[in-house]
Amino acid sequence: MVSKELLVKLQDFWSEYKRYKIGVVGIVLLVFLLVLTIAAPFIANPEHVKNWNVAEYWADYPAEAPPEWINWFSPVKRAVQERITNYTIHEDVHEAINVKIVEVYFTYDYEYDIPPKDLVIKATLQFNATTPPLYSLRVIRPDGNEIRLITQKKLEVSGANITTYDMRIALTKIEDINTRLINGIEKWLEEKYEEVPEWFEEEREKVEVTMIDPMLVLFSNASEGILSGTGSPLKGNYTLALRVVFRCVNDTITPTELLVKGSVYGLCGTDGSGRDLWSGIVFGTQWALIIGLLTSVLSTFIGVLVGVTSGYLGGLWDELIQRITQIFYSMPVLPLLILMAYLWKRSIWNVIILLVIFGWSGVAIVTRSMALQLKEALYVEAAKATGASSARIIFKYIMPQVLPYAFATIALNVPSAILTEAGLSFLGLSDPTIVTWGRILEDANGGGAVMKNLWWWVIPPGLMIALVGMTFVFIGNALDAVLNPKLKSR
Amino acid sequence: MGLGRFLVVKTINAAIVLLVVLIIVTVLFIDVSEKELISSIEDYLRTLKPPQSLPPEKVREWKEQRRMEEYRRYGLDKPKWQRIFYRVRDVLMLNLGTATHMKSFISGSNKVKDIILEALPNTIILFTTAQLIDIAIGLILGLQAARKVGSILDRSISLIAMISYSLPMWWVGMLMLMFFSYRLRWFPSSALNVYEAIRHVSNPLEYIATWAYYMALPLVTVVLVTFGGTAYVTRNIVVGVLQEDFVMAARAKGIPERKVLYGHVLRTASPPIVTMSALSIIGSLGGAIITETVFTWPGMGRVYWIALQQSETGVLIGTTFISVFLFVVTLIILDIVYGILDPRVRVG
Repeated sequence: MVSKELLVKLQDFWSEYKRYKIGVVGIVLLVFLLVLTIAAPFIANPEHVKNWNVAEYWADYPAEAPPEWINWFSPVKRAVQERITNYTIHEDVHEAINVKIVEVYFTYDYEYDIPPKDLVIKATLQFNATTPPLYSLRVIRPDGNEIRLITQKKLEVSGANITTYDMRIALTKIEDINTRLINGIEKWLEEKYEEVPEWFEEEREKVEVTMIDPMLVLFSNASEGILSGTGSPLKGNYTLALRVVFRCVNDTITPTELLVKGSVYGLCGTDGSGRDLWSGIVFGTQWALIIGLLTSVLSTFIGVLVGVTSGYLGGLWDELIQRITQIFYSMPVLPLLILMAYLWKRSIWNVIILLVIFGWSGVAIVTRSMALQLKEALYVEAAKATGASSARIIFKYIMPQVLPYAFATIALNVPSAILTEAGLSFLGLSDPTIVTWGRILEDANGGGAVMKNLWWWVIPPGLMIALVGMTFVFIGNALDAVLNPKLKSR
Repeated sequence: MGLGRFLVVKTINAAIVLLVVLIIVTVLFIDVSEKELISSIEDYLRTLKPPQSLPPEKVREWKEQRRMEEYRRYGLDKPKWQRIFYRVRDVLMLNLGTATHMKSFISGSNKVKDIILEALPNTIILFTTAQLIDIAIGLILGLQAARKVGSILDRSISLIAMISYSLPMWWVGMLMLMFFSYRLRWFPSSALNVYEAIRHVSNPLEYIATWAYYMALPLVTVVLVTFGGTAYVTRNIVVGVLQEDFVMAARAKGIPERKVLYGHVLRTASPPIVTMSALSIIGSLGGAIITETVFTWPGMGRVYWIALQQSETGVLIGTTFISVFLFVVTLIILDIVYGILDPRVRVG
């Protein structure tokens, strides 16, 4: 029977609530946020968030890369992140001298205007540490130019037995890569034009070899501007040939992939450490909701309890509780919050506790004045006359009247809880083990994102904070309008 | 109760709050600040050379004696509650000590008092100016919205207010910097350079103009985030007042609408509006820490943040004390003003 009453009440409430379009927008947003939270492991990568603080995990990802979709809006196309697992392998075994020569060919089809940030060859080798292999690497450009990048390098490993070695060659990290590329281009130009063109000599004079981006040289046409970075892109097939000379016929190489570190990455780009911002932001949703709701519910609950009890009991208890409430209310929240977050362990639960400690007093003051009015009602007098205890009166008669205000307050307090936590995160005082939007913004500020115009790092986290805030403000406003009718717009 | 008793009660309340907060902060910091003191004493002791005549065992004794001397000098030998008491008393008498690394910008002094006194006016200038502009805009918009309830203006103001309530002020600051400072180069990126700039200024007009130039972006940020809320609250208050009987009576008497609005309505609406504005200023001073850091605005918020990073406990205690003091004083003034304007409040 009770549930039928409740159902009718809820239906009435809903038909009243529906009238406030802004409230409905709020509900839609809330549903969206909840869906985002639940779907997070499916639309983003949880491994990314688990490894957020592990630097080595992000070695394969480009740093400060804008999102992939900017290619749709730009005439200039940037190279996308790719993992090329197709390769051709060619083995040449010489049993007599116990030598095996293996050639691995990776082909990369470059159709962009802006080259990738790096090319990384990954393979696993197995050999005896006492007779390490030698390897060379050369690149064949679409214009036929074959440039030697590494010549006869010995793979030094410690140990005396068969070792499994994970090889990882990043082009931009090869020794003297710039000089080799420049020499390779020069040689090709010489062959083609019978002498080195003047413009090349001039450019070579002007540039500072260490300041050149090897990717830009590698992927540009061998014409004017190639060394100064103003040339045109050379599109087509690039082949990377890795040649390993094994000193034992039984040694093996298993190529893994050719990693193309894109100039763009993912749905939301990467931050200064190469971390995937889409995953960070999507998984931040659950924390924002938890922090906001938990803080708000707890502080409102405590505030209502304290306020109503104080108002109802009156007398000395009231005075005492009021004094304490006023002390808390008069304290400037942020400076003290920052102070305490600084002194305590950096944990999200500590932050929530602190937020609640500073949050309940406002609610207490209002509910106290509500209780002061409510306790004058006749039915309260009647209840007292029949011997009801204070606790019973408070919980049965007064609390239910305060509930509507409490609900509206819970909703309206969520944005400030989230903003305050984001502020603490931004200052580096929140939990370092979880990824919150405030923390992403902290990294953005520290990583010079504002200076370098890395808008995909700065805008989305703040936007999400604002979105969650707005959701609860909209809902709170509508709740307030329905449950506490006072301001009638005539 | 009479006005006099009301004032006294409020003032005592405020003093209690101030004291309690000061004690809490001192207790929290006493360990950290003493750790520093002890390590600097140890550094000093290391440079001391014992007299040649002493045998090695006696050297250690001698060093202990010197250590005790130093401890006595700084009062470290007394029981904890006494040390807290003396610290609190020092702060109350504005004897705030010296900072270990921080220095004030212009004079280079490392006395905590000087550091704070240099930064405090900056925060006040920025946030008070912002607040004044905010109130001006908010009042005008709010009044208009209240007159035409349900209009597009009214609904936009509600929407803007709700959206800006959820915006982190410091994030908006970052966006402003990114766009107007670094991209378009219209405004400077670090407000700290203002001190460099005003050195070359000759006349007061240029002085003000230079400050204004450096203050422009932070000012716009603060106003942008707060004007919506102010307008919305003003609108609500004015709507409430417009429903009062005396307004209807005034209109019935034939008083022109403008006089009704600006004469009667505004006067009734001003106490709550003033309260709200004062509370806003206080609220923004709290958020000032982060906003000032983003813009490198040389105000109290930034001083607080730097002190925190460098563990300058003297500065931290001093700044916290000053900000709580201002906060509490503003609340008292508000209560008093409200008490004078609206006698009903004195009974609650």
